[in-house]
Amino acid sequence: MRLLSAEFLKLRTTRVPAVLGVLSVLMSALVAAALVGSGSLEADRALALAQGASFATMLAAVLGILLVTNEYRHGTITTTFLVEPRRPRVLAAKLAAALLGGAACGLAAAVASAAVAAPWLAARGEALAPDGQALEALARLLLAFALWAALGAALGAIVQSQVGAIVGFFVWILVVESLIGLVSSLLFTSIGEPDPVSPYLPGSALSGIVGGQGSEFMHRGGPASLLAIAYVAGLSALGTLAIVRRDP
Amino acid sequence: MIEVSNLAKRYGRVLAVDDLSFRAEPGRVTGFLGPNGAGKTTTLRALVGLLHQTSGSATILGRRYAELDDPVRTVGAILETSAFHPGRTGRNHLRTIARPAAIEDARVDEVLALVDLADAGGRRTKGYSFGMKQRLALAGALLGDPQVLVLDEPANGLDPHGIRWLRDLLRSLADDGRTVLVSSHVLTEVAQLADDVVIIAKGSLVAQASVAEVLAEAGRGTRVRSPERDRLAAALGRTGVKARPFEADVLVVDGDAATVGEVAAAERIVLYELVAQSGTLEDVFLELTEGASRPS
Repeated sequence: MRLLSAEFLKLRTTRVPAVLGVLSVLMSALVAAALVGSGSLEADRALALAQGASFATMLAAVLGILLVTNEYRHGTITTTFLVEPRRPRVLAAKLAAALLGGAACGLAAAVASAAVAAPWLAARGEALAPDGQALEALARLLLAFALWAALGAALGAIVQSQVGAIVGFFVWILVVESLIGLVSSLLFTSIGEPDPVSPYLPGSALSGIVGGQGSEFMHRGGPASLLAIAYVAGLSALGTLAIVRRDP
Repeated sequence: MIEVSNLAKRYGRVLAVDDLSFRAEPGRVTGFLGPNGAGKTTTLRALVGLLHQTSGSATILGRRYAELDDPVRTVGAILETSAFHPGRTGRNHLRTIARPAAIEDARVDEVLALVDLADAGGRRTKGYSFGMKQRLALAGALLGDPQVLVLDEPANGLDPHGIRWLRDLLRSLADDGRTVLVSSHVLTEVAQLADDVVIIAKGSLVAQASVAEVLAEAGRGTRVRSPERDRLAAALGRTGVKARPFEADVLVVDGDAATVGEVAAAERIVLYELVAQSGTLEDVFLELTEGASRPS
Protein backbone atom coordinates (compact mmCIF):
# COMPACT_ATOMS: atom_id res chain seq x y z
CA MET A 1 0.00 0.00 0.00
CA ARG A 2 2.87 2.35 0.79
CA LEU A 3 4.38 1.63 -2.61
CA LEU A 4 1.04 2.39 -4.26
CA SER A 5 0.80 5.61 -2.31
CA ALA A 6 4.32 6.49 -3.46
CA GLU A 7 3.29 5.83 -7.07
CA PHE A 8 0.38 8.25 -6.72
CA LEU A 9 2.74 10.78 -5.16
CA LYS A 10 5.06 10.41 -8.17
CA LEU A 11 2.10 10.94 -10.50
CA ARG A 12 0.81 13.97 -8.61
CA THR A 13 4.19 15.67 -8.48
CA THR A 14 4.55 15.88 -12.26
CA ARG A 15 2.33 17.54 -14.83
CA VAL A 16 1.68 14.45 -16.92
CA PRO A 17 -1.56 13.26 -15.28
CA ALA A 18 -3.07 16.74 -15.24
CA VAL A 19 -2.33 17.23 -18.94
CA LEU A 20 -3.70 13.82 -19.89
CA GLY A 21 -6.75 14.32 -17.65
CA VAL A 22 -7.58 17.68 -19.20
CA LEU A 23 -7.08 16.27 -22.70
CA SER A 24 -9.43 13.35 -22.06
CA VAL A 25 -12.07 15.69 -20.59
CA LEU A 26 -11.83 17.93 -23.65
CA MET A 27 -11.93 14.99 -26.06
CA SER A 28 -14.95 13.35 -24.49
CA ALA A 29 -16.80 16.65 -24.17
CA LEU A 30 -16.17 17.32 -27.85
CA VAL A 31 -17.31 13.87 -28.91
CA ALA A 32 -20.43 14.13 -26.68
CA ALA A 33 -21.26 17.49 -28.24
CA ALA A 34 -20.86 16.03 -31.71
CA LEU A 35 -23.05 13.02 -30.88
CA VAL A 36 -25.85 15.08 -29.33
CA GLY A 37 -25.60 17.92 -31.81
CA SER A 38 -25.84 15.62 -34.82
CA GLY A 39 -28.88 13.93 -33.28
CA SER A 40 -27.34 10.52 -33.88
CA LEU A 41 -28.06 9.24 -30.36
CA GLU A 42 -30.66 6.53 -30.47
CA ALA A 43 -32.04 3.94 -28.08
CA ASP A 44 -29.15 3.31 -25.70
CA ARG A 45 -27.92 6.87 -25.33
CA ALA A 46 -25.68 6.28 -22.32
CA LEU A 47 -23.79 3.44 -24.04
CA ALA A 48 -23.39 5.49 -27.21
CA LEU A 49 -22.00 8.36 -25.14
CA ALA A 50 -19.65 5.97 -23.36
CA GLN A 51 -18.45 4.67 -26.72
CA GLY A 52 -17.79 8.25 -27.72
CA ALA A 53 -15.90 8.96 -24.52
CA SER A 54 -13.83 5.81 -24.98
CA PHE A 55 -11.85 7.61 -27.69
CA ALA A 56 -9.87 9.03 -24.80
CA THR A 57 -8.77 5.56 -23.63
CA MET A 58 -5.67 6.05 -25.81
CA LEU A 59 -4.66 8.75 -23.34
CA ALA A 60 -5.07 6.30 -20.47
CA ALA A 61 -2.71 3.95 -22.29
CA VAL A 62 -0.19 6.79 -22.63
CA LEU A 63 -0.59 7.50 -18.90
CA GLY A 64 0.28 3.86 -18.16
CA ILE A 65 3.27 3.90 -20.52
CA LEU A 66 4.62 7.10 -18.95
CA LEU A 67 4.09 5.78 -15.44
CA VAL A 68 6.79 3.18 -16.11
CA THR A 69 8.97 4.61 -18.88
CA ASN A 70 9.38 8.05 -17.29
CA GLU A 71 11.36 6.31 -14.55
CA TYR A 72 13.68 4.70 -17.07
CA ARG A 73 13.95 7.87 -19.13
CA HIS A 74 14.96 10.07 -16.20
CA GLY A 75 16.92 7.44 -14.30
CA THR A 76 14.67 7.56 -11.25
CA ILE A 77 14.11 3.81 -11.65
CA THR A 78 17.45 3.43 -9.82
CA THR A 79 16.06 5.22 -6.78
CA THR A 80 12.80 3.28 -7.04
CA PHE A 81 14.65 -0.05 -7.00
CA LEU A 82 16.84 1.11 -4.11
CA VAL A 83 13.71 1.89 -2.11
CA GLU A 84 12.06 -1.41 -3.07
CA PRO A 85 14.56 -3.93 -4.43
CA ARG A 86 11.84 -6.53 -5.02
CA ARG A 87 11.09 -5.43 -8.57
CA PRO A 88 7.85 -7.40 -9.09
CA ARG A 89 6.36 -5.42 -6.19
CA VAL A 90 7.35 -2.19 -7.87
CA LEU A 91 5.58 -3.21 -11.06
CA ALA A 92 2.54 -4.46 -9.12
CA ALA A 93 2.25 -1.03 -7.46
CA LYS A 94 2.59 0.66 -10.85
CA LEU A 95 -0.07 -1.58 -12.39
CA ALA A 96 -2.42 -0.83 -9.50
CA ALA A 97 -1.70 2.89 -9.86
CA ALA A 98 -2.38 2.60 -13.60
CA LEU A 99 -5.70 0.80 -13.02
CA LEU A 100 -6.88 3.40 -10.52
CA GLY A 101 -5.41 6.37 -12.40
CA GLY A 102 -6.93 5.09 -15.64
CA ALA A 103 -10.33 4.66 -13.98
CA ALA A 104 -10.09 8.20 -12.59
CA CYS A 105 -9.32 9.47 -16.07
CA GLY A 106 -12.35 7.53 -17.34
CA LEU A 107 -14.54 9.02 -14.64
CA ALA A 108 -13.44 12.51 -15.64
CA ALA A 109 -14.27 11.69 -19.26
CA ALA A 110 -17.68 10.27 -18.29
CA VAL A 111 -18.53 13.30 -16.17
CA ALA A 112 -17.47 15.67 -18.96
CA SER A 113 -19.48 13.70 -21.46
CA ALA A 114 -22.61 13.68 -19.27
CA ALA A 115 -22.20 17.34 -18.37
CA VAL A 116 -22.32 18.24 -22.05
CA ALA A 117 -24.99 15.76 -23.11
CA ALA A 118 -27.51 15.74 -20.24
CA PRO A 119 -28.65 19.41 -20.27
CA TRP A 120 -28.65 19.45 -24.05
CA LEU A 121 -30.78 16.31 -24.28
CA ALA A 122 -33.07 17.56 -21.51
CA ALA A 123 -33.63 20.80 -23.43
CA ARG A 124 -34.80 18.70 -26.39
CA GLY A 125 -37.06 16.71 -24.11
CA GLU A 126 -34.93 13.56 -24.28
CA ALA A 127 -33.82 12.09 -20.99
CA LEU A 128 -30.43 10.76 -19.91
CA ALA A 129 -31.51 9.03 -16.73
CA PRO A 130 -28.97 7.38 -14.39
CA ASP A 131 -30.71 4.05 -14.89
CA GLY A 132 -29.30 0.54 -15.01
CA GLN A 133 -28.17 0.91 -18.60
CA ALA A 134 -26.37 4.14 -17.86
CA LEU A 135 -24.61 2.61 -14.87
CA GLU A 136 -23.54 -0.38 -16.94
CA ALA A 137 -22.19 1.95 -19.63
CA LEU A 138 -20.27 3.87 -16.96
CA ALA A 139 -18.85 0.67 -15.45
CA ARG A 140 -17.71 -0.54 -18.87
CA LEU A 141 -16.11 2.81 -19.61
CA LEU A 142 -14.20 2.84 -16.31
CA LEU A 143 -13.04 -0.76 -16.85
CA ALA A 144 -11.85 0.11 -20.35
CA PHE A 145 -9.87 3.14 -19.15
CA ALA A 146 -8.38 1.14 -16.26
CA LEU A 147 -7.32 -1.76 -18.49
CA TRP A 148 -5.87 0.47 -21.21
CA ALA A 149 -3.75 2.23 -18.59
CA ALA A 150 -2.60 -1.10 -17.11
CA LEU A 151 -1.82 -2.37 -20.61
CA GLY A 152 0.29 0.75 -21.13
CA ALA A 153 2.16 0.17 -17.86
CA ALA A 154 2.82 -3.48 -18.74
CA LEU A 155 4.02 -2.49 -22.21
CA GLY A 156 6.24 0.16 -20.63
CA ALA A 157 7.82 -2.47 -18.39
CA ILE A 158 8.47 -4.74 -21.38
CA VAL A 159 9.90 -2.07 -23.70
CA GLN A 160 11.32 0.35 -21.05
CA SER A 161 12.30 2.92 -23.70
CA GLN A 162 9.71 5.70 -23.65
CA VAL A 163 9.82 6.52 -27.35
CA GLY A 164 9.89 2.82 -28.21
CA ALA A 165 6.86 2.03 -26.07
CA ILE A 166 4.74 4.94 -27.33
CA VAL A 167 5.62 4.45 -30.98
CA GLY A 168 5.25 0.68 -30.66
CA PHE A 169 1.85 1.08 -29.02
CA PHE A 170 0.41 3.35 -31.69
CA VAL A 171 1.93 1.41 -34.56
CA TRP A 172 0.37 -1.78 -33.18
CA ILE A 173 -3.06 -0.26 -32.55
CA LEU A 174 -3.33 1.94 -35.63
CA VAL A 175 -1.35 0.01 -38.22
CA VAL A 176 -0.75 -3.64 -37.33
CA GLU A 177 -4.19 -4.46 -35.95
CA SER A 178 -5.96 -2.56 -38.74
CA LEU A 179 -3.90 -4.38 -41.35
CA ILE A 180 -4.50 -7.81 -39.83
CA GLY A 181 -8.18 -6.92 -39.48
CA LEU A 182 -8.46 -5.82 -43.09
CA VAL A 183 -6.72 -8.87 -44.51
CA SER A 184 -8.49 -11.43 -42.35
CA SER A 185 -11.96 -9.94 -42.79
CA LEU A 186 -11.54 -9.83 -46.59
CA LEU A 187 -10.28 -13.40 -46.55
CA PHE A 188 -13.00 -14.88 -44.37
CA THR A 189 -15.84 -12.82 -45.82
CA SER A 190 -14.96 -14.21 -49.23
CA ILE A 191 -15.52 -17.77 -48.01
CA GLY A 192 -18.59 -16.75 -46.01
CA GLU A 193 -17.15 -17.38 -42.55
CA PRO A 194 -17.05 -14.95 -39.58
CA ASP A 195 -13.62 -13.37 -39.04
CA PRO A 196 -11.89 -15.58 -36.41
CA VAL A 197 -8.88 -13.33 -35.92
CA SER A 198 -9.36 -9.59 -35.74
CA PRO A 199 -11.98 -9.31 -32.96
CA TYR A 200 -9.64 -11.22 -30.65
CA LEU A 201 -6.59 -9.01 -31.09
CA PRO A 202 -5.64 -7.00 -27.97
CA GLY A 203 -6.76 -3.60 -29.27
CA SER A 204 -10.11 -4.97 -30.46
CA ALA A 205 -10.66 -6.82 -27.20
CA LEU A 206 -10.04 -3.68 -25.14
CA SER A 207 -12.16 -1.55 -27.45
CA GLY A 208 -14.86 -4.22 -27.24
CA ILE A 209 -15.34 -3.61 -23.51
CA VAL A 210 -17.45 -0.53 -24.18
CA GLY A 211 -18.73 -2.00 -27.42
CA GLY A 212 -18.23 -1.14 -31.03
CA GLN A 213 -18.92 -2.17 -34.55
CA GLY A 214 -17.87 -5.52 -35.88
CA SER A 215 -18.61 -9.12 -35.12
CA GLU A 216 -21.04 -10.52 -32.59
CA PHE A 217 -18.24 -10.86 -30.07
CA MET A 218 -17.63 -7.14 -30.10
CA HIS A 219 -21.21 -6.32 -29.21
CA ARG A 220 -21.01 -8.08 -25.91
CA GLY A 221 -19.03 -6.31 -23.20
CA GLY A 222 -18.51 -9.40 -21.05
CA PRO A 223 -16.44 -11.72 -23.29
CA ALA A 224 -14.40 -8.81 -24.62
CA SER A 225 -13.70 -7.70 -21.03
CA LEU A 226 -12.52 -11.16 -20.02
CA LEU A 227 -10.26 -11.40 -23.06
CA ALA A 228 -8.92 -7.88 -22.36
CA ILE A 229 -8.18 -8.81 -18.74
CA ALA A 230 -6.35 -11.90 -19.98
CA TYR A 231 -4.25 -9.80 -22.36
CA VAL A 232 -3.39 -7.29 -19.62
CA ALA A 233 -2.50 -10.12 -17.21
CA GLY A 234 -0.31 -11.80 -19.84
CA LEU A 235 1.51 -8.59 -20.72
CA SER A 236 1.96 -7.82 -17.01
CA ALA A 237 3.60 -11.20 -16.53
CA LEU A 238 5.95 -10.48 -19.45
CA GLY A 239 6.61 -7.02 -18.01
CA THR A 240 7.52 -8.53 -14.64
CA LEU A 241 9.98 -10.88 -16.34
CA ALA A 242 11.47 -7.98 -18.29
CA ILE A 243 12.09 -5.68 -15.33
CA VAL A 244 13.46 -8.51 -13.18
CA ARG A 245 15.81 -9.77 -15.88
CA ARG A 246 16.96 -6.52 -17.45
CA ASP A 247 18.99 -4.28 -15.16
CA PRO A 248 18.34 -0.55 -15.34
CA MET B 1 29.94 -3.72 7.09
CA ILE B 2 30.22 -4.23 3.35
CA GLU B 3 31.70 -7.42 2.01
CA VAL B 4 32.41 -8.17 -1.62
CA SER B 5 33.55 -11.74 -2.34
CA ASN B 6 34.81 -13.04 -5.65
CA LEU B 7 32.47 -10.71 -7.48
CA ALA B 8 32.45 -10.97 -11.26
CA LYS B 9 30.33 -9.26 -13.88
CA ARG B 10 30.56 -10.02 -17.56
CA TYR B 11 29.03 -7.88 -20.29
CA GLY B 12 29.22 -9.98 -23.40
CA ARG B 13 32.93 -10.48 -24.02
CA VAL B 14 34.02 -7.82 -21.54
CA LEU B 15 34.74 -8.82 -17.96
CA ALA B 16 33.90 -5.55 -16.17
CA VAL B 17 34.59 -6.94 -12.70
CA ASP B 18 36.86 -9.94 -12.30
CA ASP B 19 36.97 -11.96 -9.06
CA LEU B 20 36.93 -8.89 -6.85
CA SER B 21 37.00 -9.22 -3.05
CA PHE B 22 37.26 -6.50 -0.42
CA ARG B 23 35.65 -5.26 2.78
CA ALA B 24 34.59 -1.89 4.11
CA GLU B 25 34.50 -1.74 7.90
CA PRO B 26 32.12 0.15 10.18
CA GLY B 27 33.50 3.31 11.74
CA ARG B 28 35.77 3.94 8.77
CA VAL B 29 35.58 5.80 5.49
CA THR B 30 36.74 3.47 2.74
CA GLY B 31 37.86 5.08 -0.51
CA PHE B 32 37.10 3.01 -3.60
CA LEU B 33 39.58 4.02 -6.26
CA GLY B 34 40.32 3.15 -9.81
CA PRO B 35 40.82 4.73 -13.20
CA ASN B 36 37.78 5.41 -15.35
CA GLY B 37 36.30 2.15 -16.54
CA ALA B 38 37.95 0.10 -13.80
CA GLY B 39 34.61 -1.33 -12.68
CA LYS B 40 33.84 0.88 -9.68
CA THR B 41 30.29 1.76 -10.64
CA THR B 42 29.56 -1.81 -11.76
CA THR B 43 30.72 -3.08 -8.36
CA LEU B 44 28.63 -0.54 -6.46
CA ARG B 45 25.54 -1.28 -8.57
CA ALA B 46 25.93 -5.00 -7.87
CA LEU B 47 26.30 -4.19 -4.16
CA VAL B 48 22.91 -2.46 -4.03
CA GLY B 49 21.13 -5.03 -6.20
CA LEU B 50 20.79 -2.92 -9.32
CA LEU B 51 22.47 -5.49 -11.49
CA HIS B 52 22.80 -9.23 -11.59
CA GLN B 53 26.40 -10.26 -11.08
CA THR B 54 27.77 -13.12 -13.12
CA SER B 55 29.20 -14.79 -10.01
CA GLY B 56 30.33 -14.08 -6.47
CA SER B 57 28.52 -12.08 -3.83
CA ALA B 58 28.23 -8.59 -2.44
CA THR B 59 26.60 -8.16 0.96
CA ILE B 60 25.72 -5.36 3.34
CA LEU B 61 25.59 -6.25 7.04
CA GLY B 62 25.82 -9.88 5.94
CA ARG B 63 22.80 -9.80 3.63
CA ARG B 64 22.18 -9.21 -0.03
CA TYR B 65 20.59 -5.81 -0.66
CA ALA B 66 17.33 -7.41 -1.83
CA GLU B 67 17.10 -9.29 1.48
CA LEU B 68 17.33 -6.19 3.68
CA ASP B 69 14.22 -5.59 5.77
CA ASP B 70 14.24 -1.83 5.48
CA PRO B 71 16.69 -0.80 2.75
CA VAL B 72 16.11 2.97 3.03
CA ARG B 73 16.94 2.94 6.75
CA THR B 74 19.85 0.53 6.29
CA VAL B 75 21.71 1.78 3.23
CA GLY B 76 21.97 5.23 1.71
CA ALA B 77 23.28 5.20 -1.84
CA ILE B 78 24.15 7.67 -4.56
CA LEU B 79 24.52 6.09 -7.96
CA GLU B 80 23.45 8.45 -10.66
CA THR B 81 24.09 12.13 -10.45
CA SER B 82 21.06 13.45 -12.23
CA ALA B 83 18.49 10.77 -11.52
CA PHE B 84 15.61 13.14 -10.94
CA HIS B 85 12.47 13.86 -12.88
CA PRO B 86 13.16 17.37 -14.19
CA GLY B 87 9.59 18.49 -13.59
CA ARG B 88 9.47 17.37 -9.97
CA THR B 89 10.66 19.60 -7.14
CA GLY B 90 13.63 18.54 -5.04
CA ARG B 91 11.46 18.24 -1.97
CA ASN B 92 8.91 16.08 -3.78
CA HIS B 93 11.70 13.85 -5.09
CA LEU B 94 12.71 13.17 -1.49
CA ARG B 95 9.09 12.57 -0.54
CA THR B 96 8.84 9.82 -3.17
CA ILE B 97 11.67 8.05 -1.32
CA ALA B 98 10.28 8.83 2.13
CA ARG B 99 6.72 7.66 1.40
CA PRO B 100 7.37 3.93 0.86
CA ALA B 101 9.73 3.86 3.86
CA ALA B 102 7.16 5.63 6.08
CA ILE B 103 9.49 8.54 6.77
CA GLU B 104 7.85 11.79 7.91
CA ASP B 105 7.94 14.95 5.79
CA ALA B 106 9.65 16.65 8.75
CA ARG B 107 12.70 14.45 8.12
CA VAL B 108 12.60 15.44 4.42
CA ASP B 109 12.86 19.10 5.43
CA GLU B 110 15.61 18.21 7.88
CA VAL B 111 17.87 16.62 5.25
CA LEU B 112 17.08 19.41 2.78
CA ALA B 113 18.36 21.89 5.35
CA LEU B 114 21.37 19.66 6.05
CA VAL B 115 22.50 19.81 2.39
CA ASP B 116 21.67 23.51 2.21
CA LEU B 117 18.76 23.10 -0.18
CA ALA B 118 16.02 24.31 2.16
CA ASP B 119 15.28 27.29 -0.09
CA ALA B 120 15.61 25.42 -3.39
CA GLY B 121 13.52 22.43 -2.26
CA GLY B 122 10.35 23.86 -3.76
CA ARG B 123 11.88 24.36 -7.20
CA ARG B 124 11.81 21.90 -10.07
CA THR B 125 15.08 19.99 -10.37
CA LYS B 126 15.57 20.99 -14.01
CA GLY B 127 16.71 24.38 -12.69
CA TYR B 128 19.28 22.85 -10.35
CA SER B 129 23.02 23.16 -10.91
CA PHE B 130 25.16 20.03 -11.03
CA GLY B 131 26.31 20.64 -7.47
CA MET B 132 22.74 21.11 -6.25
CA LYS B 133 21.72 17.83 -7.86
CA GLN B 134 24.64 16.14 -6.18
CA ARG B 135 23.56 17.55 -2.81
CA LEU B 136 19.97 16.48 -3.44
CA ALA B 137 21.19 12.95 -4.17
CA LEU B 138 23.13 13.04 -0.91
CA ALA B 139 20.00 14.21 0.93
CA GLY B 140 18.19 11.18 -0.50
CA ALA B 141 20.94 8.88 0.73
CA LEU B 142 20.81 10.37 4.23
CA LEU B 143 17.01 10.39 4.45
CA GLY B 144 16.69 7.10 6.32
CA ASP B 145 19.62 7.84 8.65
CA PRO B 146 21.28 4.63 7.39
CA GLN B 147 24.07 2.59 8.96
CA VAL B 148 25.80 2.10 5.61
CA LEU B 149 26.56 4.64 2.91
CA VAL B 150 27.49 3.71 -0.64
CA LEU B 151 28.46 6.82 -2.55
CA ASP B 152 29.56 6.78 -6.18
CA GLU B 153 31.63 9.90 -6.89
CA PRO B 154 29.74 12.07 -4.38
CA ALA B 155 32.21 14.95 -4.70
CA ASN B 156 31.58 15.38 -8.44
CA GLY B 157 30.31 18.85 -9.14
CA LEU B 158 30.94 20.17 -5.64
CA ASP B 159 33.00 23.32 -5.21
CA PRO B 160 36.00 23.29 -2.83
CA HIS B 161 33.76 24.53 -0.05
CA GLY B 162 31.30 21.72 -0.75
CA ILE B 163 34.05 19.11 -0.83
CA ARG B 164 35.28 20.24 2.54
CA TRP B 165 31.74 20.10 3.88
CA LEU B 166 31.30 16.58 2.43
CA ARG B 167 34.57 15.48 4.02
CA ASP B 168 33.47 16.69 7.45
CA LEU B 169 30.06 15.08 7.01
CA LEU B 170 31.48 11.67 6.01
CA ARG B 171 33.97 11.85 8.86
CA SER B 172 31.24 12.48 11.41
CA LEU B 173 29.12 9.68 9.92
CA ALA B 174 32.02 7.24 10.22
CA ASP B 175 32.76 8.44 13.74
CA ASP B 176 29.18 7.46 14.63
CA GLY B 177 30.15 3.89 13.73
CA ARG B 178 28.66 3.87 10.22
CA THR B 179 30.23 2.16 7.22
CA VAL B 180 31.07 4.63 4.47
CA LEU B 181 32.21 3.46 1.03
CA VAL B 182 33.10 6.31 -1.34
CA SER B 183 34.24 5.86 -4.90
CA SER B 184 36.32 8.49 -6.58
CA HIS B 185 38.85 9.05 -9.29
CA VAL B 186 40.09 12.26 -7.66
CA LEU B 187 42.86 11.07 -5.42
CA THR B 188 43.68 14.13 -3.39
CA GLU B 189 40.08 14.10 -2.28
CA VAL B 190 40.26 10.52 -1.08
CA ALA B 191 43.63 10.95 0.61
CA GLN B 192 42.08 13.58 2.85
CA LEU B 193 38.81 11.78 3.25
CA ALA B 194 39.40 8.08 3.67
CA ASP B 195 40.81 5.83 6.37
CA ASP B 196 41.15 2.85 4.07
CA VAL B 197 41.53 2.51 0.34
CA VAL B 198 40.50 -0.21 -2.07
CA ILE B 199 42.22 0.27 -5.42
CA ILE B 200 40.98 -1.58 -8.48
CA ALA B 201 42.06 -1.60 -12.09
CA LYS B 202 40.52 -3.48 -15.01
CA GLY B 203 37.95 -4.99 -12.67
CA SER B 204 40.48 -6.59 -10.31
CA LEU B 205 41.73 -5.67 -6.89
CA VAL B 206 45.13 -4.00 -6.96
CA ALA B 207 45.46 -3.06 -3.31
CA GLN B 208 43.49 -2.84 -0.11
CA ALA B 209 45.11 -1.09 2.83
CA SER B 210 44.75 1.82 5.18
CA VAL B 211 45.70 5.20 3.77
CA ALA B 212 48.48 5.37 6.40
CA GLU B 213 49.97 2.08 5.19
CA VAL B 214 49.81 3.11 1.58
CA LEU B 215 51.51 6.40 2.29
CA ALA B 216 54.21 4.65 4.33
CA GLU B 217 54.75 2.31 1.40
CA ALA B 218 54.97 5.24 -0.97
CA GLY B 219 57.48 6.93 1.34
CA ARG B 220 60.07 4.20 0.93
CA GLY B 221 61.37 5.52 -2.36
CA THR B 222 64.43 7.71 -2.78
CA ARG B 223 65.24 10.25 -5.41
CA VAL B 224 68.91 10.63 -6.17
CA ARG B 225 70.81 12.96 -8.52
CA SER B 226 74.23 11.95 -9.70
CA PRO B 227 76.45 12.69 -12.72
CA GLU B 228 77.11 8.92 -12.87
CA ARG B 229 73.48 7.96 -12.92
CA ASP B 230 73.82 4.75 -14.88
CA ARG B 231 76.80 3.42 -12.92
CA LEU B 232 74.86 4.03 -9.70
CA ALA B 233 71.86 2.21 -11.10
CA ALA B 234 74.01 -0.78 -12.01
CA ALA B 235 75.64 -0.81 -8.58
CA LEU B 236 72.26 -0.66 -6.85
CA GLY B 237 71.05 -3.43 -9.14
CA ARG B 238 73.90 -5.70 -8.00
CA THR B 239 72.74 -5.29 -4.38
CA GLY B 240 69.19 -6.15 -5.37
CA VAL B 241 67.73 -2.65 -5.17
CA LYS B 242 65.61 -1.57 -8.10
CA ALA B 243 66.25 1.82 -9.63
CA ARG B 244 64.89 3.49 -12.71
CA PRO B 245 66.29 6.49 -14.56
CA PHE B 246 64.06 9.54 -14.40
CA GLU B 247 65.50 12.78 -15.72
CA ALA B 248 68.96 13.30 -17.27
CA ASP B 249 70.85 12.75 -14.03
CA VAL B 250 68.07 11.59 -11.73
CA LEU B 251 67.36 8.08 -10.52
CA VAL B 252 64.28 6.96 -8.64
CA VAL B 253 65.23 4.16 -6.30
CA ASP B 254 62.97 1.61 -4.66
CA GLY B 255 64.91 1.70 -1.41
CA ASP B 256 65.70 4.06 1.44
CA ALA B 257 68.18 6.92 1.36
CA ALA B 258 70.65 5.16 3.68
CA THR B 259 71.05 2.20 1.30
CA VAL B 260 71.61 4.48 -1.67
CA GLY B 261 74.17 6.57 0.24
CA GLU B 262 76.11 3.51 1.36
CA VAL B 263 76.21 1.98 -2.11
CA ALA B 264 77.32 5.30 -3.60
CA ALA B 265 80.08 5.67 -0.99
CA ALA B 266 81.32 2.11 -1.55
CA GLU B 267 81.46 2.68 -5.32
CA ARG B 268 82.90 6.18 -4.91
CA ILE B 269 80.08 7.77 -6.91
CA VAL B 270 79.45 11.49 -6.54
CA LEU B 271 75.93 12.45 -5.44
CA TYR B 272 74.48 15.91 -5.96
CA GLU B 273 71.20 15.24 -4.24
CA LEU B 274 69.70 12.49 -2.09
CA VAL B 275 66.06 12.87 -1.09
CA ALA B 276 63.82 10.40 0.74
CA GLN B 277 60.58 10.68 -1.19
CA SER B 278 57.46 11.62 0.67
CA GLY B 279 55.10 9.79 -1.62
CA THR B 280 51.53 10.70 -2.23
CA LEU B 281 48.55 8.45 -2.70
CA GLU B 282 48.56 9.61 -6.28
CA ASP B 283 52.05 8.19 -6.87
CA VAL B 284 50.99 4.85 -5.46
CA PHE B 285 47.79 4.90 -7.43
CA LEU B 286 49.54 5.66 -10.70
CA GLU B 287 52.19 3.06 -10.02
CA LEU B 288 49.68 0.36 -9.10
CA THR B 289 47.28 1.02 -11.93
CA GLU B 290 49.94 1.70 -14.54
CA GLY B 291 49.61 -0.62 -17.48
CA ALA B 292 46.10 -1.44 -16.40
CA SER B 293 44.87 1.98 -17.34
CA ARG B 294 46.83 2.16 -20.57
CA PRO B 295 44.97 1.13 -23.66
CA SER B 296 46.24 -2.33 -24.50
